[in-house]
Amino acid sequence: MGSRASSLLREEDIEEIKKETGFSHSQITRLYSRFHSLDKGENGALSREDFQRIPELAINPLGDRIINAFFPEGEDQVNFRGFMRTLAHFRPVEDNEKNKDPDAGEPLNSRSNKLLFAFRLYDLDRDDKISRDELLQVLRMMVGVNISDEQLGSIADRTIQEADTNGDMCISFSEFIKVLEKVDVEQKMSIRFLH
Amino acid sequence: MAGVSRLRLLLAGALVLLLLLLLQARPCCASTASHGEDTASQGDTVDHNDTGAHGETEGHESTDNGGEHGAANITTLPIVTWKWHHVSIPYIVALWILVCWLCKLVFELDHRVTSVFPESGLLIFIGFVLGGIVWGANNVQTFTLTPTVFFFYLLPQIILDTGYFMPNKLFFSNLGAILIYAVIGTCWNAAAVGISMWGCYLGGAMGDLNIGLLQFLLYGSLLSAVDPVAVIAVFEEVHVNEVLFILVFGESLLNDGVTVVLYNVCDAFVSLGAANIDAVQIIRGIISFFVVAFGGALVGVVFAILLSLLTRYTKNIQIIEAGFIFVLGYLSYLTAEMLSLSAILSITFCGVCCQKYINANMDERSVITVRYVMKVFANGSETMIFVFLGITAIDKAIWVWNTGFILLTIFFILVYRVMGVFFLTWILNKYRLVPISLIDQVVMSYGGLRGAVAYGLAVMLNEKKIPEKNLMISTTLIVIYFTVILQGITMKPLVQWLKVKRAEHSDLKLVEKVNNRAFEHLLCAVEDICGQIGDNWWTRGWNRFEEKYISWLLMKPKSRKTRDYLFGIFHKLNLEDAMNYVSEGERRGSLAFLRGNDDAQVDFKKKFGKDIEDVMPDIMVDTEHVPMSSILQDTIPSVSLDLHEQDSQGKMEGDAHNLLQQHLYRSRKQHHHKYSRSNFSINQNEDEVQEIFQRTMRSRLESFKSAKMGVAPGKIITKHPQKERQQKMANGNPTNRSKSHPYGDEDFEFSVSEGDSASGGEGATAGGYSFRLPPYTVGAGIENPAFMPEMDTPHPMRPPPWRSEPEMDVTVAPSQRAQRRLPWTPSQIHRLVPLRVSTRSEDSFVMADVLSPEEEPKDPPPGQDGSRM
Repeated sequence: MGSRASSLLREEDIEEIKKETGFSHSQITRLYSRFHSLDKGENGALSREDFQRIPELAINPLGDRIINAFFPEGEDQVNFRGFMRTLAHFRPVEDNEKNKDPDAGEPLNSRSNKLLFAFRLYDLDRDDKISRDELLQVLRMMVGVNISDEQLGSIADRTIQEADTNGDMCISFSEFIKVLEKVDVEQKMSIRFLH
Repeated sequence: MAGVSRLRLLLAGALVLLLLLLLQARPCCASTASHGEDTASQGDTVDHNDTGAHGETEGHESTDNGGEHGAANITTLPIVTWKWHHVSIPYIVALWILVCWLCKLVFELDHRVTSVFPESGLLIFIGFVLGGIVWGANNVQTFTLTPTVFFFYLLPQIILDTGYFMPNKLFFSNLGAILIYAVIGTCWNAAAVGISMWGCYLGGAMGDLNIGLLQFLLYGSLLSAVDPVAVIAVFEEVHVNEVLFILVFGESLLNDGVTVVLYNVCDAFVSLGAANIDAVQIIRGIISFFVVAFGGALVGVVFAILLSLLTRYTKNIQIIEAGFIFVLGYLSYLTAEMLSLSAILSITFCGVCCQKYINANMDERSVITVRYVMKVFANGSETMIFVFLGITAIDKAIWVWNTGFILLTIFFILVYRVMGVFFLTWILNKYRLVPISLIDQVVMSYGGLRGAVAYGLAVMLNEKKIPEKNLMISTTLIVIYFTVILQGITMKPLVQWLKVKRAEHSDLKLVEKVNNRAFEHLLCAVEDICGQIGDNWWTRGWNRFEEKYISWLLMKPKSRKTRDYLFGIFHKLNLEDAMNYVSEGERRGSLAFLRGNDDAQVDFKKKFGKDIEDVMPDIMVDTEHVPMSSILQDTIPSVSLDLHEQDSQGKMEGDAHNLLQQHLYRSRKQHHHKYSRSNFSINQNEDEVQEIFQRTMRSRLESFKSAKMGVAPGKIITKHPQKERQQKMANGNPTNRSKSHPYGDEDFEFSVSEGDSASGGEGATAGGYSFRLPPYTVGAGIENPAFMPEMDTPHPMRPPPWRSEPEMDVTVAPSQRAQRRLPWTPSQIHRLVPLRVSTRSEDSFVMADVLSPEEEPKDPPPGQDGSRM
């Protein structure tokens, strides 16, 4: 990790990011150097192309969706703050921060924020509903070609049926939370960030 | 309720005692039990009782069959002879198995007992009782658990079972932790216990014994085998969180293997003697440890590959394909044993690695067979092991009491287990995404029960090298009793008291699975973006590799194609729904409630469920010339179920029924020669269905044409089936309507044409055919081609049956003669009439004109039929 990269990051920034995201100092500097190496334009912000250059993302079925999640609506640049804010969703929930600072607002890695992140992956049109079509698109990305459209359609129907409580054939965010309430989201949407 | 179960308890108990008496009753009734109970398998000498001792009981002279006694004095031809000797050994073995299993039956009768006491502990208790009886009768313990029997005949299936049922994903995602507990933890326990015991021995805590450090280490190693049967049972009952479960389960699985390896290494050191041990030997010992362990695992993997490859080609011998896993699994065990590698690890890995591929390769029925047979074997031998652990204890010969030795052993075992778990967890938690909680650690350390492996190893000790063998055996037994019974009993309260994190026990949900998949992709992507190589990276890398190469090699192309994770879940859920649906239908008396809402939203769950349910009514009613499999195959694609899976599923469900069905069909419809019964083989494919369909249609077309020309033959052909059908409908009347409805709908086009061909009378013909048609609707595409030239349009709409009846009168009105023609029509078929009329009214007029003369004379016989209804 280049000292050059971390030197570009001012201590105050680090402190602020730390407060906002909960990452440790070393994690922030480490991720900053990664950010920097992704930033081919060297302008302190990542564009979609920068992400698309990551080879593994190209073979990730949800790759493009995930890249999109890094960009605030309508923008096509993301700075380090934004980058870290998105990544913070994937920080594991630590026991000691569960009841720390109740008035500090919900941390980015809370259960509902994690779920919201996942929800947004489906919800392309941002109407806070996953429609059948949106679900189908994601399913199509995730299942093999051996499954026919018809079969996939019935899978999507069933999935929606399971979640849909008000009968509008869409999954709203509250329905999404409800139906996944028994899933260990805290664990399943966390990775161990290297120090 | 309680009275009944107590009665059964008593009965079962009495039965057990009876069996034992049979075995043990030599002194009192020698004539019946005669050659007694010797030689279970431990090779005691069999007393060769003389011949003819049983003659009295049998009522005629019997000669002994035991060849050595020869046919001494045969004077007449024996009709029946008493050949106890001939069968004694297998007979005793079988009896013991029966007795042990009955023991289990006895206390499974009352769940209040098993909810407090762990089953394994109870079995040991029963073993005490049985052992007491045996000992009382013989004054010597004739039956003990010998290492040979244990390691060759009882243990392999248990290990194979655990390996085969290992939840793979969980296991491999926690493999690191499991390996650390199983390898390092086991070594730690062995070494710490051995050395501490030795220290105490030197300190004089256990009196004067002839044991050196190496022997103590050997002793420590055999005691490090953890067997948490009781713990697993508790875990399953209270649904502890899956991480804790897999850690204990996985550890126990690998730990047995590691223990045996460790034991062998220590044993080798003991034989070598303390004097000859230098650094080189120690290094060799360590190398040997790893070679034996990994070599064993490798043998297992090789056998798993062989097994998977083999099951790719067993399609034609489905009956026995399930057996391969047992044979090859056992061979992997023996092979590793032969190579002096770890047999336990070998069979473990064989089970773990092959499960995915053989489950995909084998027929679904075989998979189920394997599952159940495996459980029978494993559970059966587990039961036997615990009973014999109890029986073994009742033997004066092995008991050497040394209070200090015993207490210290128990103490050290408990303490070092706790220390090991906590220390290793502390290290692991630094690297774990989800740390293992303190409570889980407590439970894990308390779950260190010792089992039969420890005892088996203790018995294997060589008395020449270990003078205090009996002390070790008896201490091992006490440790086992202590841990299994005491810790086993307290485990459940502990788990509940500590409020161990439970697994969220939820129904399988598709939406969860979909999201889990999405989460996985998400985590991979995030790791990629962060540029770190983490667990997800490895998982994904492995999955890709596995899919690309290993599955390619080991899986049938067909099953590989049709495998899709999400779809598999979907399929499974739907099957469950179908089952629920059927049972719901049965609860309500029939599936008739379906009819109310079968319009647009006949979603396939319902339909599928219905089809299965239909199998049985079908036999009685009149669709039976259609094999169930074809119905299943046919309806399902229309609702987008995967064909292959469905196909096999259909076969599975419908098989037995098929058989029955075909027989019924033959007996009732022998005249129905249009297609042969053999066409309805289980594996009937779509081509066949279409072929039959086309043939039928052609013949009908012919009959239709000839009928139009006024030629009789065609008519006659169509007539017989009608009669037949009517008879059957008479039988199956109540179910008929509701049943035929769901798929009957689709056939209305046929019935239309049928009606025409038969010149549409009251609809009897139509009805008759309509029932026959459903199966063919599969080829929805085909039906029309055949009839297009004749038919103007397919029938536009399908009025529900109940509406059709009123209309009937109207529709039939146009042709009075047609009405007369078939007065015997079963009433329930009227619903079909409107359809006919709506499409082809003119035709029916024409035909009615042509045919009516011929029809009239035929009225009387049908009338009889009608009256039957």
